[in-house]
Amino acid sequence: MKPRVQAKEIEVLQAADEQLVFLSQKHLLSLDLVEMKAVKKYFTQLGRNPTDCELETIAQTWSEHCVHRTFKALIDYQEIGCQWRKSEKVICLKEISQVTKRLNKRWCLSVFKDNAGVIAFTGEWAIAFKVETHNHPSALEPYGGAGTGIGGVIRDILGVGLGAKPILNTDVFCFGPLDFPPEELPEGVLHPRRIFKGVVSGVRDYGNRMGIPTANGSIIFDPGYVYNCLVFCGTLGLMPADKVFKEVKSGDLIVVAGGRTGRDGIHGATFSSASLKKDIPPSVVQIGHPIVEKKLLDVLLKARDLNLYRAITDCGAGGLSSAVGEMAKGLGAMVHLEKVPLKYPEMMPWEIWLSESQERMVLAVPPEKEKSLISLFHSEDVEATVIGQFENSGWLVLKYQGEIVGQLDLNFLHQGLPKRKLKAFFQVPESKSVFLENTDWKETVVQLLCDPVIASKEIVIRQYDHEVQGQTIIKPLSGVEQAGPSDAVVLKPLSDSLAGVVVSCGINPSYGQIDPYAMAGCCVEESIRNLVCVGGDPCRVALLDNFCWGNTADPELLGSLVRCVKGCRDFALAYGAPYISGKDSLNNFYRRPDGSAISIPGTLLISAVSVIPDVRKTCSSDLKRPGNYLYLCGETRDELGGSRYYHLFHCQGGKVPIPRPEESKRVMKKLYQAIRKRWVKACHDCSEGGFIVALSEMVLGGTWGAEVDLTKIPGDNGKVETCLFSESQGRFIVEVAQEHQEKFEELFHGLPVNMIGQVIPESTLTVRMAGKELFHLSLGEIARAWQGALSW
Amino acid sequence: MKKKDKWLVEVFYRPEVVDGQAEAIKKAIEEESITSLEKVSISLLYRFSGQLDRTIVTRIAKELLVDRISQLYRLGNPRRPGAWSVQVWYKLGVTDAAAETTKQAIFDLGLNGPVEVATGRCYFFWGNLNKSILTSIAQRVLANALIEDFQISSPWSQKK
Repeated sequence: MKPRVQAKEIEVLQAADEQLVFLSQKHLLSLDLVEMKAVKKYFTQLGRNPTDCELETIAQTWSEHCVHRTFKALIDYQEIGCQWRKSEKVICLKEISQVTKRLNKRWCLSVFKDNAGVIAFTGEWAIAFKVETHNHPSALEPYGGAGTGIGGVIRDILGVGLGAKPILNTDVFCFGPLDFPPEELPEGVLHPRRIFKGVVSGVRDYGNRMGIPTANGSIIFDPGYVYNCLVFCGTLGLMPADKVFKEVKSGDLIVVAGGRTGRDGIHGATFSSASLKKDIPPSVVQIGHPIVEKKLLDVLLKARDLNLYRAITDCGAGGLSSAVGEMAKGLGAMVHLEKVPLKYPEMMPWEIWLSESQERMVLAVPPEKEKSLISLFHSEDVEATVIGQFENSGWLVLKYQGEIVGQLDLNFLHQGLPKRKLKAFFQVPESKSVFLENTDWKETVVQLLCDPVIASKEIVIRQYDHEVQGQTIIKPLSGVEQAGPSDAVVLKPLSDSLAGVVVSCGINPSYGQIDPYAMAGCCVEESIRNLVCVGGDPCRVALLDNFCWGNTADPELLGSLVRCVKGCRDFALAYGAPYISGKDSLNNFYRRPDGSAISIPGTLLISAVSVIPDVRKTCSSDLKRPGNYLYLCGETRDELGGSRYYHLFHCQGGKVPIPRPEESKRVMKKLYQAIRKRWVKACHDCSEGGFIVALSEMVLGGTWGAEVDLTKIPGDNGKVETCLFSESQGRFIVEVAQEHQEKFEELFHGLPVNMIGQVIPESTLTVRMAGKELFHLSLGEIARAWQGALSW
Repeated sequence: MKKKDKWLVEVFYRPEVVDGQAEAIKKAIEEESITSLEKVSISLLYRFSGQLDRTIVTRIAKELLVDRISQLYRLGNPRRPGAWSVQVWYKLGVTDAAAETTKQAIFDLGLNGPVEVATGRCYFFWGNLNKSILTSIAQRVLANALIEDFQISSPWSQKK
């Protein structure tokens, strides 16, 4: 006879406050005392103790990862300037979501309520986009953590509406410096080089095996990420416009499909809500199986088109507890845990319920469709099993071998979390210029091109299949030798339409170390600017926000998060770009054995998606033809704070770049028109490293040379270092054929746009100031510096 | 109850084929300031248990595990004359995706008996090394102690 595996009762009714805190720590619940007291109160009203299943379900549902309790908290926020101080009450989530509400774009089809944001594409098709983080698992097991990061976000796309087909993956990583001294690492922390290789390999192997191109991203290196790396994985999906919404009905069967359930990933959601420290249990790490997910993907899209289910979601953080709990919202559900297919016998009921084993989806299937669905799944060698039923009871009831092992009021589960009240403050820095004594411009440019943040990421890009599915129009590397960087990726997802999708990103944590508000503005601007460079429409941009922050229990760090959120709100409104989805990953800090915490730099990733009517009217960044004119659009200012130039000289402070949306928008709209009229032969934005790095990258891509004069740069063009290295926003270097000069200049009349030089046939980049040569660089010198800095 | 047979199959590149992964591992070890290493080679390991005999395991190895153009296989404990070796296996309960796929592929070969599969890796090292250096290499480059176990064996001498 099989041994009976039963639920355990956990004593909370008689527990004093310190015992409640101990209980939370012992079971890795990541609930604070106020939350544990709410749990105690609920079960006191019921007159019984919770079972392990119930307590774990509450912890998962209330975890920072699942419910974003800090982003929903009421924050008493103070901003302190030199001679002023202002206070306000802020709810971060509201600040972000109000942007979308106020902009009220009719092409935003589904925002913030599903697994991904959805926008209209063509009449019959829609585009879904989601970016997730998988930071803690990647720090511990880089290959598995990153692989399951990409696997998880792919399932988000499969689980949005009635399911979308994944057509693009994006990846953005933040690592410690690759040359970090190993002897300075504490026990249990992996070296950044090992994390870098493992993470890239994980994303590569999962994405490539799934047959999805990985074609956009960025990599940042900073000592602040030595203890906690950041791994952002995104997926874009294509779905029929009539499959955007889902609805679970009472009586629908709960079907779990895909991989089997094991002990892997248990406590992933609550673990991601805690700090990293020594002695983490191995169960929090998941290992992915892309072949299983690929089979699941294929069969799900077939089932979707046959209308065999009414709703779908993925099993992510919190496993079945989160997936079924979410789907049962407003209804109720009865689950028979012994029916869940297991990898090995004798798992405890709470383990089955909480496991974050990968490659699983949960479907709501009308009973009359059960047979067809199960038979379709089996025909494709994918397991699908009925494990329960949704019912109009208001209760989530968990049974194991006939016995109730958990019974929770869904209203309490979803509404019972006590609202947090937090305090935060931010000291607004003084903005002062810093002067560096430097005149060796050539050497400085070479060193900047070697900066790992700026240098070519070709060794990573080439490991990804960015061509699979045959839809990639603008690829990650451009030019005759495919050597220059592209600003964004352009896809042509439909065989019978020229319509395209443009995807880009913006990230720069260095600015945030001076002012997170400016960083937010720059990230929003950069993501839109990158879209516009390749021909994206600046008036049709949807944004995704991903916040990764350190220890938000510290009011100062929380204050910097609030300041960043305010920047996200203000600049997205100013650019008219709504947020359609977002995610926050907090508590990215390492707890030293002495109790002190090392937090990551507050990091914001903005991902942007735009839709264009004709992929033929796009543009790459490589120089095309000698004789063509070079223009700089947008003003250059003394904004070197947080720049790579200052970083090179270990210089702190300075004026951080701040976008001017009104001016920027005017330039972007004109540029969009010029690209559509095909007057623009090449376009590249000025970002990290400033004007000179952008121009070097264009030279590298095109293999032609260029001659420019800095005195013609619009804005503060008196100082060489400002002209070369300032990271002022809203700037583009544009190549225009001689025959279009007049029309181009007429289009930009009244805007800060000047001709600064010309493309030349010699493979040399020559920089002059008032006609006098400052320095020149050969194509070989640029290539050696830019392409040789990162090694595998 | 019938006794379960256990078999270990080792798959490795032919000597004339460049093993890129072994080269990458050598470089990663050298980046850890370990300079006494002369050569690295890697074998993939498959451990089978179930109702199997040598004929069946040989068929699995030949038809499923080996790319016959570039690879070779052998049954039994992996070893190389004069080389230290480090075997790395997943800890119990950690998902072994390659093993699951192998199991499915064995079924697709028409072999229906219950078979358990585990996959691992064996690294061979030549050079002026000792157990403490190998432990450091295993911890820093080869295995992640959170999900994997490793086992170090000292150099093996071939009897003449």
